[in-house]
This record gives sequence, C-alpha cells and structure tokens, in this order.
Amino acid sequence: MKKKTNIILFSILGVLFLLYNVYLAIFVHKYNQLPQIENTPTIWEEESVPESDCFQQDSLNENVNSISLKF
Amino acid sequence: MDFKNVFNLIRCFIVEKFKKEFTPLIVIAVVVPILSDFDPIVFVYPFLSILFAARIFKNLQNSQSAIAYMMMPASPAEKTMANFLLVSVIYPLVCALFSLIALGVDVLFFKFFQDYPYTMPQDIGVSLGFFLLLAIFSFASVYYKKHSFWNVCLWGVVMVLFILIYSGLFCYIFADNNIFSADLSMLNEPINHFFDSYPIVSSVVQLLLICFFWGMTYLRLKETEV
Repeated sequence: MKKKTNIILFSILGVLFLLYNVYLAIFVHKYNQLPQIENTPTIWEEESVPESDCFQQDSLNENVNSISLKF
Repeated sequence: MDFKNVFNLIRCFIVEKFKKEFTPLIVIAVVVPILSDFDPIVFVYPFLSILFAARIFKNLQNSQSAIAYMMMPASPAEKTMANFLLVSVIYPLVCALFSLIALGVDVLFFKFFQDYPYTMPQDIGVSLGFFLLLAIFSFASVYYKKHSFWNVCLWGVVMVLFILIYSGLFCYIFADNNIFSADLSMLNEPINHFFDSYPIVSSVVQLLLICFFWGMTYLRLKETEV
C-alpha cells in the first residue's frame, strides 16, 4: 500500500530540489556576469624580486672583510 | 476533538512513561550540572527534550504494545495533540524546572563563593528552531518507529553532503570561473542576507515547518497499521 505521507514527503522534496536548481542557476548566471580577472598569475608566476633586493652572501662577506681591514 | 480525552491521554502517557523516560532523564538533568560545569539550560535541557521527542512513539516499536496503543479509546488527532503537548510544553517545562533546581543546589552548596557561571533563565534557547527540531524528531519517531534519533542524524548528514557535492558540481560545470573550491560559501550569502533583513519571514517559515511536521505526524499515525 502506498502511504500518503510518503507521497507528500517525496513530492515536497522533489519540488524543493527543483527550486534549489533554479536558485543555483540564478546564482551561477549572476556569478558569470561579474567582472572576471582572467589569467590571474599564481604566486609562483609573479614578477621575480630584483636581485639587488636579495640578501647576498658575497656582498656581506666583502663588507665583513672591509670592516676587519679597518680594524 | 475532545479535550477531556486529550487530558486523560496525557495523564496516561505520563504514568506510563514516568518510570522509563522521565526518571532517568530527570536524574541526568539534576546530576550533570552538579558534577560538571555544563550549563544545564543550554546543554542538558534541549538535548534531553530532543531525545524524549525521538522516543515519543516508542509504543509502536513492537506489535503487542502497538496494538494496545492503537486500541486506546482516542482518535489519532487526540493522540497527536496529547503527544504535541507532552513534547513541546510539559517535558521542556519539567526539564527546565529540574535543571533550575539542580542549578540552585549547585550554586547553594558547591559554588556559593564562586562567580555565578550560568546563563540566566531568560537566555533559555526556547526558539522556534528548537520547536522545529522537536517536531522533526517526533515525526521521525512515528515514521521509523525504531532508532529514529540516529535515522534523523543520518538523514541530516546525507542531505548536507548531497547539497555540498551537488552544488559544487553544478558550479564547477556551469560557472565560467572555477568556484568549486574557493567561493562555495557564497551560495549561502543571498539566503542569509534575505533572512537577516526580514526576520519575520524566517519565523513564519519555521512556524509553517513546525505545523507541517506535526500534520505529517498526525497523517502517519492515522495510516499506521499493526
């Protein structure tokens, strides 16, 4: 015997699922209309830091040598 | 619907359930706040009420007690009304009363010189969401008859997982940019914004859902066969 409550419950669940699909479709449509940033560089593809800003062991050594020479 | 019948049913259910349902839960409601620092009003009392609601149609579990239950001289509407009053009014009141007594004992004898650590009774989480949960668990108890609490928990987990996976796949396929991993939380924002701006709509929806689940409980009880 098909029970009335099962029919009501599952039909309501089906209607809710359809409504959720409509909501998702509207959401995605609105999202697609937003200005998109294309080809956003990842952190690895960003411009490399100029070498002059980097910490260089050689220059440090030179400085240390010069200081020691002054002594 | 004869309210005298409803009153008699409530009296009968309380006598029948007092030993097995009320006593252990009242003991928990009294002992837990004394032994631990849990706030009885926030933690113990809603949880016990939900457990009670999930076992309200326990008589339908086996055929013998179910026959006795169905043969009671009352209509399904009166039985549903009696159970509604038990779950939504009487049991929470009893639980709150015993929690308050436990809280008083706790404060008087154990934490007299300490700061008062509990929320005041006006902070009791008596909200429509709580009554909606009670209605859902009551409906589950007449729908599943056995292990209704765990069935509802399982249904909740399955629904949440399904919604997450389905909406993720939907956005992954149809959205121009991949919002599968990053912005899925954006999905809730319009709904949350709507309910925050119109709190009355949220209350009305919850009230309708409560009525719906109690109506379904009545229908299910009406068509139950032993």
